[in-house]
Amino acid sequence: MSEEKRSCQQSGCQVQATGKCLDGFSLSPDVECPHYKVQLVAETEEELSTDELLPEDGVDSDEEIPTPILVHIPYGDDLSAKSCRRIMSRSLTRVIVLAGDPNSGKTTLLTAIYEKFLDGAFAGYLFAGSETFPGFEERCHPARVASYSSHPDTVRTTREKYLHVKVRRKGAAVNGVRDILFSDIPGEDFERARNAEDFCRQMSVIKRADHLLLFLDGERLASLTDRNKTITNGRTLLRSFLDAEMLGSWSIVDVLFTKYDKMQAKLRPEEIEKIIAHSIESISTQCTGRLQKIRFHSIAARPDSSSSLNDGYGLEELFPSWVEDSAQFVRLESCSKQRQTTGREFDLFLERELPNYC
Amino acid sequence: MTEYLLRHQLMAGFPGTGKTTFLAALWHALESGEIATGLRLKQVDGDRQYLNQIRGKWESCSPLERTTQGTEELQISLLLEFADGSAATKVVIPDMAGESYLNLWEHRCWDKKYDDVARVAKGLLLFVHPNEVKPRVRIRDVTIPPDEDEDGADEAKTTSSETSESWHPLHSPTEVQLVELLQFFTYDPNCYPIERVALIVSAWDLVVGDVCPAEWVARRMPLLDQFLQSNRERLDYRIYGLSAQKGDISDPEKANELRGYLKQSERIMLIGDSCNSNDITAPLKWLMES
Repeated sequence: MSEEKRSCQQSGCQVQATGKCLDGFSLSPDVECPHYKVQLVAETEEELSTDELLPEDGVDSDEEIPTPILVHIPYGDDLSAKSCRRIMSRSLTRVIVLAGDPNSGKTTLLTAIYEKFLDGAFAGYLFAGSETFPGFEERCHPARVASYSSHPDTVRTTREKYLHVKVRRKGAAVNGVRDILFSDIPGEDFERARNAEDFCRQMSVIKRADHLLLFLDGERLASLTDRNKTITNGRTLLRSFLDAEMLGSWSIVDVLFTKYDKMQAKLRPEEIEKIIAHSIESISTQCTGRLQKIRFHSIAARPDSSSSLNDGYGLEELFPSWVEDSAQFVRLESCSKQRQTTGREFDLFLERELPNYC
Repeated sequence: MTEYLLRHQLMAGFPGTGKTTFLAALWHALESGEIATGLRLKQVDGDRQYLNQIRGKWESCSPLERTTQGTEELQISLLLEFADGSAATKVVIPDMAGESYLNLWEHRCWDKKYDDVARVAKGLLLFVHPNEVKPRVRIRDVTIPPDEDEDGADEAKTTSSETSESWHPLHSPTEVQLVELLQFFTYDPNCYPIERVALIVSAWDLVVGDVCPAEWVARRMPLLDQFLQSNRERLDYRIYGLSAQKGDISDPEKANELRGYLKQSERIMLIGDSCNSNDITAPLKWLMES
């Protein structure tokens, strides 16, 4: 049996839940609001046929409200590796892979960069767009007042996704816009990669990465129980990718000592220095000559409110390098050195106009 | 029969940002010819009932009803010419509900009838109301009461996941929603040929401090400001501050004072790029020059 029910057809109107009409009309039986209409609601699924949803007597079928045809925004969801191709095929895109144990600060770093642009120009770059706004917003939400959380938090990543940001160097000429893709891959995937070469090989994005950021959790480095394990995990992950040839002589790796504020809170400066020096030595030894570049930095993407460090501590120095330097571009350059000119006019033109292009 | 150049402009903005008020004041300025304006009404074109109705409310300083979905006027057309008499152009400016733009952000889609309007527009009048700008507030930015002890803080931390609210698109700052809107309109020039945007900060009389509209946008909505600067080659822009009412009409005394203007067009105040006058047609004129 169907029952008659009034409801509002206007998007965004909460009259059903709150009793307050969006347009301020009264809700007496002789309702004034043009959007507040009678609908027949089926009580069981069997009743839910087209006929029963049509108005009964006295209403001409011509007055039916047609179902609107909707036009969707062709982007917005977090990107999969496949959907990244849409961006990569239209511009020389920087791919930044964030690698490390679960809860080592990968997603927090992503949100910190986005939040920095919400404050204004960052590290000499202007924000020029993003095809994954909802993804950034959702990840930032637990650290915002609107979440009603008492402490900033980060959502745990459960599936491999990519976030997109477009930046433009201040004062850059026309076409000075650079697309950047940041990976948001669960830490569990890297735990698996550490132990299985086959799985490493499946992570093809590592090979394409312009920068691999290896996260070492500063909070765990400050803990006697977790310190050695954290360093070992980082080192073995790097070794696994190198042995699987997903990283190589073209790769640029930035090792990030994250949560630097927590290290400062727990350790004396000389202790921090000692631990970091040991970590650098432990990791560099096995990478010597196997990477194009390896660098080490301390960062605090979202320092604790009691810390004197600013939001995004350490990121301002790193960000320009992520935008400008490319492991892939270097490969093209090295390729061009070996190129043999055929003497054809087109090759001569190419050599003249684009000396670095292969 | 004379044929005129046809130009479509789009008025965009979230609910309550002053789109209809702008249209009412624009129609009054054009139709009355009380003051010199950069654009002139050459000929009345089509049905004027809606324009006269909203103008009536504007000049009597009565509140204008919000334009809601289903009650929009999508085919408002005006035959305008530049002040020097050149380039008579038929301008189509639809008055669309702010909810339709909100839907684009919230539900990532909108009705095809709105999309059809956007697909022919060359210029965009984008409205922002200074009191309707939702900022981004981080937990870190909020001062914690000094009497909150460590135990209390820890307890709150452990229960935060239980009490927290999950993300909804409408939680996002206004500037993020506006940038997404502009991105959508500039994503594919073959679909949306918009080349210029006139960003209008409405109710400019509410803005305190000695700032120009461009500075205000840079301070209050830095992400939007960066986006506009970064994409200037694709989307040229100008920023205006507009006071179409010249005061708070909900205040009976102020409303009476405003009704006292013999030339109601003089109530209008527009400041910004290359203008500081009562000429409300300046943003539209600039859009038409593209």
